[in-house]
Amino acid sequence: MTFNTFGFLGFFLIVMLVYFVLPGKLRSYLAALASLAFYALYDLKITVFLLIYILYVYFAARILEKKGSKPVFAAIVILALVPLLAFKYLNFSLHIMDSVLGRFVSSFGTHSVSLVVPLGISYFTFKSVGYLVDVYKKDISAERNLPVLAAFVSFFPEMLAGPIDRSNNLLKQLREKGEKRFIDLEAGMLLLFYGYFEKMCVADRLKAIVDGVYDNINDYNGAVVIVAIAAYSLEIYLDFAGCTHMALGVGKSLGFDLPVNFRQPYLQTSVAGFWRNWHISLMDWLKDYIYIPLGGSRKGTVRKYVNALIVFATSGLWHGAGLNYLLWGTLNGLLQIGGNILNPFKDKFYASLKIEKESEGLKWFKRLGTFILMSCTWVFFRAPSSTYALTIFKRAAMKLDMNRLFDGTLYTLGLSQKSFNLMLLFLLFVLLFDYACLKGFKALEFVLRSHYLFKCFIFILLVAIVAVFGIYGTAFDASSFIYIQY
Amino acid sequence: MQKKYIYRTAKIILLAAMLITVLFVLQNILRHKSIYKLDETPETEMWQEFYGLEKNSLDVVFFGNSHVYNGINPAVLYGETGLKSFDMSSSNQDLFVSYHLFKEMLKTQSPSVVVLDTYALHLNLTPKEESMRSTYYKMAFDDMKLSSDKIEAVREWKKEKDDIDIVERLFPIFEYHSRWEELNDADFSKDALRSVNLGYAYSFKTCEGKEFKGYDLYDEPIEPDYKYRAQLDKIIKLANENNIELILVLLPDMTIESGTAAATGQIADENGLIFLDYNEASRLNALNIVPEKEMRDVHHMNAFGAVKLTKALAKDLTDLGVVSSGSNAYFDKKLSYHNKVMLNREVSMIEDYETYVDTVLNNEYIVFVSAKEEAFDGLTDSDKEALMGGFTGLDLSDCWGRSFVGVSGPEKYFLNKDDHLCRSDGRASYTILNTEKIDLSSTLKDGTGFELESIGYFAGAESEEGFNAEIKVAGRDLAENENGLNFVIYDPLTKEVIDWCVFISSMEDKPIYRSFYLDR
Repeated sequence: MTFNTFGFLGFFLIVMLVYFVLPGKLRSYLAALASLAFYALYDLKITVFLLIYILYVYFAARILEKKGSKPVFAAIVILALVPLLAFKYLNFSLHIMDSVLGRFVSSFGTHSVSLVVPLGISYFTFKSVGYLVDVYKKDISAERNLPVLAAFVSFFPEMLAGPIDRSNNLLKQLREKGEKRFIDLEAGMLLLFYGYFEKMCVADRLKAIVDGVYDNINDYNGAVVIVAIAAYSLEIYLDFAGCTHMALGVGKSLGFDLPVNFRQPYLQTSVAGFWRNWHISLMDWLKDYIYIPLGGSRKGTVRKYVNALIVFATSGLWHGAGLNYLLWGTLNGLLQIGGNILNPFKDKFYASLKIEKESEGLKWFKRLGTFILMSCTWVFFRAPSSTYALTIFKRAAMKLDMNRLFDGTLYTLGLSQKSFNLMLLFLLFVLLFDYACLKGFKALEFVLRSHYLFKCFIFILLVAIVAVFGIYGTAFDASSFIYIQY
Repeated sequence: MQKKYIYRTAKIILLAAMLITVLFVLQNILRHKSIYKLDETPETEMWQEFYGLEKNSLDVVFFGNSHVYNGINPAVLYGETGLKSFDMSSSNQDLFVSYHLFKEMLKTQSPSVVVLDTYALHLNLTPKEESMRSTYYKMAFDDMKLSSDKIEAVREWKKEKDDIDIVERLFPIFEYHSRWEELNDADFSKDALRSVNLGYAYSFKTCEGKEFKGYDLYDEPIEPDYKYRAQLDKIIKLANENNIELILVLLPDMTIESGTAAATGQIADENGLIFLDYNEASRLNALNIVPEKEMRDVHHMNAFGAVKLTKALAKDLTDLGVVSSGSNAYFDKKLSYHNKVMLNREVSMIEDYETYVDTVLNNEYIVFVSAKEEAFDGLTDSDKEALMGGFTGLDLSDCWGRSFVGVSGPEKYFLNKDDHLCRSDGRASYTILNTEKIDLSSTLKDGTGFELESIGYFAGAESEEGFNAEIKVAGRDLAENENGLNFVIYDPLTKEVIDWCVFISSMEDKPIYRSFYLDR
């Protein structure tokens, strides 16, 4: 049951009705119950696993609070990570073992274990580990109220694609007596439907083009492949940002402020800037729980770069158990290190050309450069293997053939001409909207402060656009959120 | 606190009302419309007209598949007997659909008789047809009003066929939203549904080279599938509960086996129902169907066949004592409409010039004429008079080699403000007879634009453009553009161009004649 299904809307409506009927102090209990019900609707058996995991985190935190020794802490954290490692990385490890040992022992064969990966395991594991570390560091007290902790670990809006919440945010809010505010509902609904717009109207259109080229790469080359590479960069952004907006919207409707996960990443002027504004909750988590404990930038430049590489490699593996993900993560780490090293030279270069560092023209040039670099790294993310990613680059470089951008080929990739043009229009809107936000325009606040009828107009317009131009229906696979698999 | 709560609740209700209204309007625009003229299925028209009918105004209601909407014309039945009837038929309607449509009908109508075509009792669907079943159900149910009965129908349908989404079926916007790419005038204009005919759908197609004999003796009854039988039993029960006389029929179809008819007859006997089988030889002979003229294909009547069949049914119903509950202005209008539709068809087959001119000038048509080359050379005095009668002030005594355009018809269809039109006695006409090339463009009251151009012998002799006799209606040149008098006939009632032809009148030594072209 993903956000963009009628089933979810029905479920959410029921939760909202109960929420508005119940006294505010019971909202944490409702959050826990709704989250478990949401999970049970997904898979009853795995809900049992989730309950056991919640109980583990609950008691582990209590133990850590009382006996906070390092070995106990290490054991507890490792044990908390075991399900994630087992479900996500066991087959990957077996695959590596098979390929290494298979070289020496011809009869070694292949091994794999059939496992159903629990929904959102990466998200709730990182959330839980973060909480255990916070308790160990005494940044927060262990939660005594089990339903509150259950709500924190399994909060249903965050189960599908994050954000990875922190104990100092969501848990704190769950402990407080909630106040039901009408404005939260308004903001929540606007966020939810803006998320639907990003996902269903734009990202899913881009997906049709991307799939059309990536799945038939031998039929295309040059400009068309480059378009598909760029389209995937936009698809993954709008898919993930859309899902995050939906999560934020659902959370806000229930009175919870979830962390912002994106701040116009493609309008940043460097790879480092991109990563400061992309999947912020994950990058913050990796910084606080891996980069800083490893020494951060305090132990010299080389260690700083090594630490950064470790963080990015971990990020790659968090996204998926595959060499291409590892490569993607490492590549991003290298780009960031490269950018850091080149920064002084770049500044000198601009100065020699008398280019104003803060000029808007230079910023757009840098934005374009960042987008191109990021798009290249996303090829490894999207391609089923590293070899396939290299084939995509080869096909892109084979023969530019710009004519194919104008001879109607683009309309044969999976979208009709009208649908393709509509997608371009929506993309232009998203670009302008993001740019306005980058320049300080607070869209949500603006709408919320406006007259009731204007708010209604914006909301109805959003719903109507999604209802008419969204890609959904019986023929559409609603479960195709990219970040659900992590 | 309570005031604040009420205020907020009111705001939510207002927003919800506005949102539902917008979505409802969008749904009406976006949903697929089954319009007979466009895709040969009339379900949208049927529902729209049905919901607009006066409450409890029907005497007879027909259920069944395309046999019914092509074969039984309620306007003819009204003309023959005064019985006010309606075809609640839909494409490939099976008994499951008939039952639910019957229930929906009972909410607003209380007919004394329901006639059910039992073709669906022996449905023997191929896997491909079976896979299409949901499509036919969609056509039948999509335009039905949302109600608990519709929900029940969709739920039962879902139980039988799992290829549908209940939400999409109840709120078709969610299935048809992607139609924004293919919207056309029919989606925005109610005019697309203007030809509603009490559920009946006119077809003028013909079926060639077939012989329709029917059957003399009934074979052994072929037992229907228990599922279909159970559905028929539900319909019989529903009719009984509502004191409605249920009549079972099998309408003419060359493929029906007598064994299926025998089974239907047996069920009718068991339940004390009347069964009328129009495939049975004696009944079929009485109908005297000529397949190549009166059947659309081996399964269906065309409009001419439907007239015959409906008249036969009218007689049978009268014999059974079914009586009309009185006349009705709406049905009177439908009868006039039917007569006009049939006349329109006849016009396109008239070959005699004077009969043609007399018919089109005296039956409320808009007549467009444009002459080409020496169009008047072959006209006799009586030919000229026939034409002059329709155009005020037209004098063809000296018309050799001239250009000529004419527009004529009842005044009510013309724009009053148009200075070009001169009128007398309720007939408006516009004629130009000139030695120069003539261009004329104007608009009728219903918004239909037209443009005429004539280049007669003198005007065209030195023209580089050659000879022309264009008649553009709604932007499309429909004139045959041949030497002589080019006609285009527009029927403002059905809002259709019903005929376009040329009467070759430029040969002095040859009498005027109608030329038929294959590419019409």
